[in-house]
Formats: sequence, C-alpha cells, structure tokens
Amino acid sequence: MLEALGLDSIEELFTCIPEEIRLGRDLDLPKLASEPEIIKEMGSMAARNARMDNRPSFLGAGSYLRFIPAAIDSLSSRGEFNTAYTPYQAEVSQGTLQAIMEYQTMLCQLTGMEISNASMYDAGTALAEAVFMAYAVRRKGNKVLVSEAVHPEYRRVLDTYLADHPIEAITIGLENDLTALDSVARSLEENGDDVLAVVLQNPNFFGLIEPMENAGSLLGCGKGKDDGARLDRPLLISIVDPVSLGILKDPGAYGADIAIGDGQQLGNPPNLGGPTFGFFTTLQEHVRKVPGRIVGETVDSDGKRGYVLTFQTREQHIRRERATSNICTNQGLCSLRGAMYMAFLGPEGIRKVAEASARLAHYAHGVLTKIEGVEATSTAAFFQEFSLRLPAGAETVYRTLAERDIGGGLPLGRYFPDRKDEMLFAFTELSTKEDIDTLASELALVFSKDLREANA
Amino acid sequence: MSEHPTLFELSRPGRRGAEPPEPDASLPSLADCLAEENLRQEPSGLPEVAESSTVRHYTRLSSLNMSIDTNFYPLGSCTMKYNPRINEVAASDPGFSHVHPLCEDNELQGYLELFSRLEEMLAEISGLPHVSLQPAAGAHGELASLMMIKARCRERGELERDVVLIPDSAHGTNPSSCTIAGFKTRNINSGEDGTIDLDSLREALGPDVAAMMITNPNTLGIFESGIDEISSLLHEAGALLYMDGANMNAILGITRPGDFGVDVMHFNLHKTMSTPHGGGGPGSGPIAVTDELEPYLPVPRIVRSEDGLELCSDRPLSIGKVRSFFGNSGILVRAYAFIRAHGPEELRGISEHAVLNANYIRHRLEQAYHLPYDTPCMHEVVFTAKKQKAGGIRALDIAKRLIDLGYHPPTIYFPLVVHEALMIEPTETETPETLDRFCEAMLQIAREAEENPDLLKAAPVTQVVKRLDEVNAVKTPILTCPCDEQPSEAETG
Amino acid sequence: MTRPVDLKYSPSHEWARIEDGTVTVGITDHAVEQLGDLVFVDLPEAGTAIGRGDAFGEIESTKSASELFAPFSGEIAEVNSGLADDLAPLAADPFGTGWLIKINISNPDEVSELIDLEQYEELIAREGDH
Repeated sequence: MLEALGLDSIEELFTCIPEEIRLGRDLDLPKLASEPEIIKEMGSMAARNARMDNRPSFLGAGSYLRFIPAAIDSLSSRGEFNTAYTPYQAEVSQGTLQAIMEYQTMLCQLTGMEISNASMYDAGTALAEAVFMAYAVRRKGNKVLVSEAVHPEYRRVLDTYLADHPIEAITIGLENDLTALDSVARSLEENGDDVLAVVLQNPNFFGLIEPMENAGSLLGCGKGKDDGARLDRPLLISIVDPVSLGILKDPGAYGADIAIGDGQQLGNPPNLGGPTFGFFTTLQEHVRKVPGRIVGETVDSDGKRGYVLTFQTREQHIRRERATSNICTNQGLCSLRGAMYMAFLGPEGIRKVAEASARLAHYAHGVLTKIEGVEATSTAAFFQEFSLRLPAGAETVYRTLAERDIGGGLPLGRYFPDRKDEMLFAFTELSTKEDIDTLASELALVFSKDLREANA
Repeated sequence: MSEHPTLFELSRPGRRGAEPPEPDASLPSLADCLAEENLRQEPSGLPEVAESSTVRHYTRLSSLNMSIDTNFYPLGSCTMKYNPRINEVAASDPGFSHVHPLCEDNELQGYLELFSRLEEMLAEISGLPHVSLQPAAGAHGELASLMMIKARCRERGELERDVVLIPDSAHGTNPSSCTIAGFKTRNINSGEDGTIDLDSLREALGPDVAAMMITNPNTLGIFESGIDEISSLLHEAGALLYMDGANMNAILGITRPGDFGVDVMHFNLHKTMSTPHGGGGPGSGPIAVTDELEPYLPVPRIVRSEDGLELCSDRPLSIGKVRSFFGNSGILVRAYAFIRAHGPEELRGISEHAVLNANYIRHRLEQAYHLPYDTPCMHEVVFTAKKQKAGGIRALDIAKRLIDLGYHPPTIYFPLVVHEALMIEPTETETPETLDRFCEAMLQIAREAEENPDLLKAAPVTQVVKRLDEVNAVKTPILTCPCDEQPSEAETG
Repeated sequence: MTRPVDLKYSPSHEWARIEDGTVTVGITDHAVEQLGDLVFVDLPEAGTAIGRGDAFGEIESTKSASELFAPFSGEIAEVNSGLADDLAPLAADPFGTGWLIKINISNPDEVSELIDLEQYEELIAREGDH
C-alpha cells in the first residue's frame, strides 16, 4: 500500500504534524499482554470486588440485583446489535430501529405515558434533562421544587447541571420521610408563576410510596389535556422505579407530565452503577422539546412499513447550539436489554417480580423491627425498600455484616449526615426468606453484643 | 401480518417468555403489604410472547442490521473498528458486572485499581496529567469540561468570559454542550486548506472568550498543523484550548494533545478504544486536564491512602457530580482490556494503519470523486459528490447504492462546511483486500452515476425496506406501535 | 419562479413588503428550495414585540432547522396561522399565500438595512460557488 502511495515509510504520512510536537518515543505504558494474561490480570482485579450474587446482599438505593432471563445475554451480545452504530442509515438499521420502537412502546405501556425517547445516560442526567425540558415547555418560571426524598445522587447531578443555568432548585423537606406536600403547596403559593416544575420520586429514596395523586391534584395535572387548553401550571416530573410499576399506580394515572427513571433493573446487572440507562417518557404534545433520539414509524417508497429516527431537528447534529439537549451517544445496548426484559417477562412477569419483592420486603420489615433496639423510621407504606434506625452506627454495622459475608443495607449517613444510625435495606425477588432470617439473627447477635458492651 | 411483526402483533393473552422465581407461600400476601389505593387497576399492556418466539423475534431483527461484525462500516468520525471479543469476556466477569455501586471502598479495590491504572494510561496517551473517567459519552465529556471552564471563570472572577469559539467544521455536540454550560458560541471559519483560519481566530479572540473547542485532526481528517500557534494565541488571550478527542485514532503515540497546548480534552472510548457502539451506546467519555484544571474535575476522584484506594468527594472547587454513581464502568473495563492487549507499540501501530488505510482510499478514489481539500489526510478522508451532481446524483444516492453493494455508507453531509460530503474512515482493522473491494465498489458507483443514474436513485433494493419517507414520519407521527390488536389464537397459531 | 422586484430582501432570505407602516414578511423561494421538504413552522403570537434581527420563529425540514429573522422592529400584527396545519402554500407560493407574519413597524428607516432584488440575486449566485 505504501508503494501505491509512492511512499518509502509510514513516517511520511505524518509529515503534516510539526516535528516539535511529535512524541518521538514510545508511550510509557505496560507492554502488551496476551489474552490469557489479560484474563488473569483482570480476573484477579475482579476477585477483589464484593459481588452481590455470591452472598446475601441488601443494598439497593437505585441499583438492584434482579433475575435476568438467560436469553438476554445471548441475544444482546449478537454482533449485529452490539457492533452496529446509531441507526442513522435507516435501511440498514431496521433491526435496531424496530427494537427501539418496541422499547418506546413498552415503556409507555408500563408508565402510562404517551411517548418515550430512545434512552438517556442514567436517571440522574434524565432528571436534569427533564427539568430543562420543563423550562422549555413552560416558557416561564425559573424555580424547580425538588423533594428531599429524591435520590441524593440524582439531586447532585441536577445541581451540577443547574450551576450555569438560570433555573434554581428549591428543596422540599420531609414529614415521616415522605415529601411534605403542604410545603409544596406553600412554595407554590409563595413563588407563583416562578415555579416551572415539581420533582417527586416514587417510591422515594427511602422506599416509601409518595402521595402522587395528591401531588397531581395540587398542581392541577390532567386538566385541560382533553380540550387542548394551553398548559399554564408547573409540570409534574415523576421519577419512577420501572419494576414497581408491575403493581403500583403508573405516572399516567396521576397525571405526570414527564416520567423518568433508571432502567438498570430491566435486564441489566448492577455494573457498579453503569452502564445502565435512563428512560424518558412524556406526553405527545411535548415531542419537539424532548431530548435525545426518537424512533417513528413510516413507510418506504413501496408503501411498506419501516422505522426511522424522527424529529431529528431537535438534536445537536442539526440544531447545534439551539438543540434540546447535547446528548448524542446514549445507552442503546442497555435499553435494548431493557426492551428484551419487558418482552420476556410480559405484564404478568413484571407483576410477579414486583409482588415478590414487596412481599419479601414486608416479611423482612416484620422480622427486623422485632429485634431489640431496631425501629422503623417511618410509618408510611413502602414497596421493596425501607430504612431502620439501629442501636449502633450503621457504618459499623455494615462492616460487621461484611465480615460475616453479608452485604448490609446502605448506611444513610453517607447521604444524610444526621442519619448515621439508619440503614436502608432493599429486597428483590432474588432475596430469600432464609437470607432475611440470617440477616435478622446476625443483626440480633451484633446488637445484643453491642448492648451488653454498652451496659457493662 | 407483516414480514417482521412487532412484539405487540406477536402477543397472545396468557403467553409468557420467562418465569421469575416463585416467592415462598408463607410470606405476607400483597393485600397485607399495600393498600388498594396504591395499586394499579389493570395489568400493564406489555406484550405476551413465548420465550422461543421472542428469541426468534430478536434474532430476526438483528439480521436486519449492518454491523462491524457483518460489514465494512467506513462511517467517518465514528471510528467503526473491530471490537475484540476479549473486551467482552473481561467485562462479563461477575466480579465486575455484579458489583453494587454503593459498596464501601474497601470492597471495590479491584475496580479502583483498574480505574486508577486506566486514568494513568489515558494521562500518558493524552499528555495531560489528570483524568476523570466519569462522563458517560463524548458529549457528556464535553459538557463536563465546559462546566469546568465555567467554574474556573467563576473562581477567577472572569464571568465576562462567556464565549466559546467553535470552528465551522465542528461536531454539533460542541455548540450544543456550550449552551448547556452557559456559554455563547462564536464561529471560526475554515481556511482554504481546511484548517482553522488564523486571521479569523485573531479577529474573534477578545476578553470575552473563555475557550476554543477544536477537533484535531479536524472533522475533515486534516491535522491542524498551526496548532502550536492556535494554543499560543488562546493562552495569550487568557482563554483555554479544549480538544474533542473523537479523532484520537489518528495520533495515538504519535503526538499528544497535552504536548500541543490542549488544556482539557475528552476521549471517546467507544471509538478509539474499541468498545462496541451498541446500536447507539453506551459509550464513555473520560476527560483529561492540566494541573490547573484538576481541582474542578467532577467527583468522586480516586485517591490513594495508606489503606488503599478511596473515592473522594470532598473537593470544594469541583463542578460536582455529572452522573449518578461512578461512570460507565463496564465500558471502562473493556477499554482497559483493549489498551493492555495493545501496549505502546501496537497503539502507535493503530494510528499508523488507520492513516495509511485512509490515504490509500484517498489515492484510489481521487480521480473519480472530488476532493474539496488538497491537504493530505489523516485517519479519514472527505470526498464530495460534486462530480456526480451534474448528473443529478447526490451524496445520499451514492451512500444508498453502497448498501446494495454490501457496504455501510460513509458519513454524508458532514462536516457542514462541505457540500455533499462523503466522509470515509476505514480504521486500522480492515485488510487491504477489503479496502480494495470497497474502492472497486465506489469506482463502479462513479461509473453508474454517469451511465445509469436511476440505479443509484432507486437504491437500496437489497434491504428489508427501500428509502423511507421521513417527511411523513414527522407530519404524521407514529411514535409507539399500535397495541390494541389482539388477533385470535387461530389466526397465526 | 420570478421574484417580485418591488420587495425588499435580507441576506438571511426573508422578504418584506412595505405598505403604510405595516410590513408583510416571508421567506424566498430560494430559502424554501434550500430547506427541502418542509415539515414544521413555529410562528409567534400576534401582539409580540420584536426587534430588528431578532429570531421571530423557526422553520424545519426533516434535516434542517432554521431561525426566521425579523427585518424590522415593531409588534407582530398578524400571523399566517394556517401554515401550522398546512405548509403547502409556503412551498407553492412563498411570495404570496405563503407569507409568514405582518409587523406594525416602529422604525421605517430600518429599510436601509435591507437589499433589493438585484443585490439579493447576486448574493445567492455567490453562495453556489462553495
């Protein structure tokens, strides 16, 4: 090939790079490794991480270990899906496009919303995008009310995104670990038209079921939708756990304007929190303000059904500095796994998963609150997660449990400095009654020892 | 029923694709757990399809895609190189995949060790001393970087610097990220040779400029040979130089952004480091910065203490968190495997071969297709359809005809500064035979454009669908599959 | 298409018909052709105040989105609201039934910033050189 180009050496191809800035040495990196060496090296690193699947584990808080149908790994790893690019060339991407179309549809079925995009990075960034979209839709107001029961990680991401933006986030406090709706009402009254949206999470960060319908009525959600009246109220942004929607009321039912969340639980392992995918659903009337890719159905020149990326003028590659979002690469393969999960489980499967998780969590709540010194932090209804106040520091308890090969719940002091003695426990359909009993007896042992020592 | 029915068309009441574990019967009943008012009234309208049908459905859908595993995919700017399977094997270890993000640091020492080494590797490759692995994609890395530049302006009391300079050949994400980070954009024209016009740059520079975003090599596949002067001009004016790392595949081990004056850049691990594109993602967009910008990097940072590695979020000048938890860890694991499999010699070899392959295509096609810039190319080459346009043929027609000849089309109509652009990036992983066959196909199309233009305009005819009506897709939007059809069991069995 | 000689034009491809303090604004056939298949137009509400050079709306094809710029300052007097449902008049008759907005202008002197047909046609002829 060099010969065809009339060159003597590859060096000559790089003459356009000025000599002074060329590296002129090898990169200082480890020598190349063979496949067996790589497997050994990386395997030994992997072995130093605590896994969720080889011991009882009760961490949740936005990332969960769930049953993943075996077929998902084999189908999603097909090179035809995994090594394809974004489906800009529709004729050679009908597989990906139809799969996204079905994904959008299934998410709408689950959330009760009207349209969905093709995915966001995660729930945290989806929240920031949702607030930006509410700002664009509402066209007035610069305050967003955010419940303190929204996942602290998501709130931190939102804060980062808002740092250079005229929108101000106002935190709404808690009552019984639920969003204080009277504070929402007060803030709406005080700020009037300045409020562009209210953000709630359901179930909330503490696992509790928020009064979403009351929140919806407070904002006047659902009104004017049928008679086409122009929206003139703050938008309700609902962050939802997609699996919970197997049994819980969906955001469409309480009139949410935007429903988002993290799709990790839909067919993706925890992966240290990424890659997962954020999902983003809303109402059809807002389609031109939606961030990210959207697939639509159309016909080809013979009138045959086909799918394309549509409303592309919203996006960065066309609208540039005026785009609805800067997102380009999304989390396509993770959302494909999400679609497969919804397809394999179907309505009954997701209902069963949600129901099993809730029943196991309620069993655990009964058993754990019987331990001396342990008490619930809230009396509100919960789905599959709840926090308990422990008679010892939660970080210490976590470490003690880890020594006994149990993955404890989340010490809440990590996010809430005044909650150092609280632990958030999560349960999924993969938790077992035996594991819960083990957890209870270990905790009882730890605390009786602690209490004995304290009394001595 | 359609040749490729949707899941909803395949759905039949009562069918089930997978059975989750059955809970112990002695557990409290649902009615004992949750009040009726919290529960949904009807089951969700998800499709009900048997496992075998669902497997067949997705397998069939996959066969409708072109992919790197099945076709040459010379999509310019996207670096569609072969994705080694060793990356996938490494990442599928449950010691990586089944790890919870809220474990304690001492339970994550393997991950933190890998991240820390990967940060060092990317620092060495970029020539910039500090790396954050958190951004989830290239555009996310851009945004995080611009937020850092903004934070630096704020810290220095220079908020009047609210403009970012952007060359007209830039990716759309660049100006779009600027807006979100609270910057205005100012356009810089390309000169006659396709590189940044220094006079245009001098004119645009002023006390209101915070930074310039460049891509180097730029999106025309041309190295900005005046980069030293560009960075000097910016730095003298108190502004920073940002580099979009989309085209790092051209310069690995040859030159380093940190050595030509870049202050902050992002990598696209899903391009340069071979992690799969996944039909649109996930990607990963780590950022590398100078000492001066280090305090602004997103949290958490990985720090070494006497107990081992720790995640640290106590960083007062940091822009904060840019996404939940850590980053696209699974992608970082794959990129680590890729860099380990190549080492210093082969990483340089990647760029040498990527550039050689692009120049070979340039050489073979330069008679048949118009080259808008005479300047030698790096890892990608931009042609136009100017010579074919006289016969009514557009870049789009050439692209669609390539499909019928078994190739994924190049990037078309980008960069925007070139009319009827055809941007070809072969990457290093293609054999000379593949390149030759592709060039033959391109030459055949150039002949057909003269002799049988209708053939091009009708293309593609070999795929499951012909050209799709995108106008109709916007005017009559159908954004979800029709779901209410419930054909009887007898209809399809 | 023959372009009307009695109109004023802008380099951003708007045209303006000036009649007693009210100006009718549209985009040229050249702009329509460059945009391709039009799918959407976003126009302001009557009564909105507007400055010369401000974006008053947006027009989209499937692969492009362009802002529309006001050739005069003033207040939006009337909007061709039928275009929201049917863009055919804009494609077929951009200088007539495809008009976009009418402005009650506040500063007639701004006309000096606009160009006449001859200058406009020279401008678009040069564009084709790239």
